[in-house]
Amino acid sequence: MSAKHLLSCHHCMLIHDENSLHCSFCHATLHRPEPLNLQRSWVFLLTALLLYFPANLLPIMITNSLGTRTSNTIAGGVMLLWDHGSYFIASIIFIASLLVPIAKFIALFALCLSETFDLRLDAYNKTTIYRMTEYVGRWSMIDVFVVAFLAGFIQMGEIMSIYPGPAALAFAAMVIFTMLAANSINPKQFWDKHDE
Amino acid sequence: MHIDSLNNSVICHQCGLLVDVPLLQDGSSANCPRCAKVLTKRHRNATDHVLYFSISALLCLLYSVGFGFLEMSVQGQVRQITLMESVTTLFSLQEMALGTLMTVIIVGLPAIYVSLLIYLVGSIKLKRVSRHSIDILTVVGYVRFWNMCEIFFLGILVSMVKIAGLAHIEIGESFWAYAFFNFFLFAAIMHFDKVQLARAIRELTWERERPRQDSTNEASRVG
Ligand SMILES: [Zn+2]
Ligand SMILES: [Zn+2]
Repeated sequence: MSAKHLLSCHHCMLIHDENSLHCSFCHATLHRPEPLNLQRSWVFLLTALLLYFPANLLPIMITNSLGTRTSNTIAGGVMLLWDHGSYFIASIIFIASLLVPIAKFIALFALCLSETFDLRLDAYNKTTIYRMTEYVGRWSMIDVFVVAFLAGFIQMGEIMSIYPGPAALAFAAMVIFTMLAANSINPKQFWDKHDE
Repeated sequence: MHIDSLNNSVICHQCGLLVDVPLLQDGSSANCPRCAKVLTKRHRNATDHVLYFSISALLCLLYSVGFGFLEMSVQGQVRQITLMESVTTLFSLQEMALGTLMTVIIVGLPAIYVSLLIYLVGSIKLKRVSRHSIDILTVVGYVRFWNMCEIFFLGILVSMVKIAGLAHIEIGESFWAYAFFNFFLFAAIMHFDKVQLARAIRELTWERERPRQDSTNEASRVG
């Protein structure tokens, strides 16, 4: 039997025939496979892209040390760490905060474009890209957590204090919107044309 | 109506293929033949493992909130914080949005997640499931998507390395508790399988309802 004439309950995964309206076990409404909600994915993706600029151009962390005030952008912070010889940490932040978001944007744009213009890319490759964006994207939050934790911890008045910059929130919002964009893409859609 | 003969089948939620998944042996898993996604995995004593790891995680989380987390000293000045103080400091800096976000990430979602796991798996173990257990299973899935406490923990380690050259850092009891919390939560998640749990909830519920249906049938026949 082909899965095309079957519906799986999203909640308890019980399989029903295509004429069922409600799950016979948990009574949840059974959702018919709807056409990809691309509009929603695009809105989330473009919002994330708009947030990308303040997230990277504004300072993410402001340090007050013995009367000197320094503010750093994400890229500035990475360079500072590199100069201090913390190559490993600098690499983690560089990958998580700079490389991953760009890679995620490229991947999500490729997926949304290929669905919008119905490009027949290989479903298996699209699924692999999708799974990677879903899994790796969240790790970008690490720099926001570092700044938030340091600001909560290092408050010693004039000796040394750390404050979050405006980019921290912009960056957090950007990551959340890319997560929402990835979440609104249903990889099953990639496979619908696969059988034909 | 659901199709009884497909009770042991799964529609791959990644590619939509209908796959027959028989009752698995302990330690084995079933993959989708088309997109290779792991559909379900059966762990040895999965329910017990999830339950005990979740309870340990919850105890560690509760412990980590109340005691000294980290202590730093610079030029003779000392500052010690608890995990919650790292958040309340943000609120006192008027960083309301960031403070709220961190409260949700550090303790909010993890506490909800672990409590729901304990309730869900506990009710399966005590055979006290109902159709509403499925709702909990669904919520657990949502919370898992947004839960990022392991990323936060890595963030703490990065923060410590960042300031290691500037100040002397002392690690408190809470820090270890939060580390163990992350470990136990990870172990619980590794033993968690949605398909197996959904199947267990369905079967336990049907099992409980079956004798009642039989007796009502008999009563109507007699009547
Ligand atoms: Zn259902
Ligand atoms: Zn599949």
